[in-house]
Amino acid sequence: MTELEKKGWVNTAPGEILVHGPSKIYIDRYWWFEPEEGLISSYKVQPKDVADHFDVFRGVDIIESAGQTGVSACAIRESVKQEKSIDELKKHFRIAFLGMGEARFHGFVRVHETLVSICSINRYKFRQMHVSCKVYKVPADKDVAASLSELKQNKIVDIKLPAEYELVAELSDIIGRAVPINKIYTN
Amino acid sequence: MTRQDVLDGIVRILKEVKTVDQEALKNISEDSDFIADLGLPSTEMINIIAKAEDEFQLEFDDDDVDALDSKVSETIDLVMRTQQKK
Repeated sequence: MTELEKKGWVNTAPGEILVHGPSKIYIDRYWWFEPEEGLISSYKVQPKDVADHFDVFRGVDIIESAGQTGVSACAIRESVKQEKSIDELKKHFRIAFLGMGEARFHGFVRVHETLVSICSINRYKFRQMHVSCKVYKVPADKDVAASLSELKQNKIVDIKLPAEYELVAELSDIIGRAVPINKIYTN
Repeated sequence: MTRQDVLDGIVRILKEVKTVDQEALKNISEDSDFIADLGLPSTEMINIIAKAEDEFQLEFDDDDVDALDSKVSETIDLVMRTQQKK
């Protein structure tokens, strides 16, 4: 895949890749993608996301944000493999968040802070992807674009994060799969 | 390679999988269901099929794997069919 193609995927709106309605999408944008390595996304927590929850973003929503990042990586990878657009892929497959291994939380995220999910691809086989994600929070007054918009590394382990990025969760074995629509709607 | 050879190979794979009910594995047959009878989580099915590729030195098509259900007989069918195509 060329750098231009990778850039194309990174600039795709999450709503074009995910099937969720807009109020359920917990990704603002993608920043970095390597088909064999992983995907990085971010999401700035909005007041609607913390309503009735002490201005704190729920742990389950942190998992959802990272899960959507893993699922996005699966969709992009499958799209690349089949040489089809995402729209074409969606006609035949639902990219589903199937499960997760362990979740380990180190902190919490407040409204207006930004989550950054760094998801590494562990395995991709038969349209099923397993990723591990580290989720960081960035203070409300910091612009993540300054540190994420010009990443040149090819390997996810080589990406160094600024000191203000604070690890809030480590999520293992997030599973996404492109499931044929005819296997979902069997009734 | 016979269907029994394939079943034996599947048993070898499943013996190494922690989530499989090892007691139930003693009674495995072609009619067994990986999920309902052996306790395999549905998300592990793909990993078992991937291990079957290694075990039998075959390469399965994504479309064929999509079509599988969780019956052991279907996996044996897939192995036999792919073997014949080689």
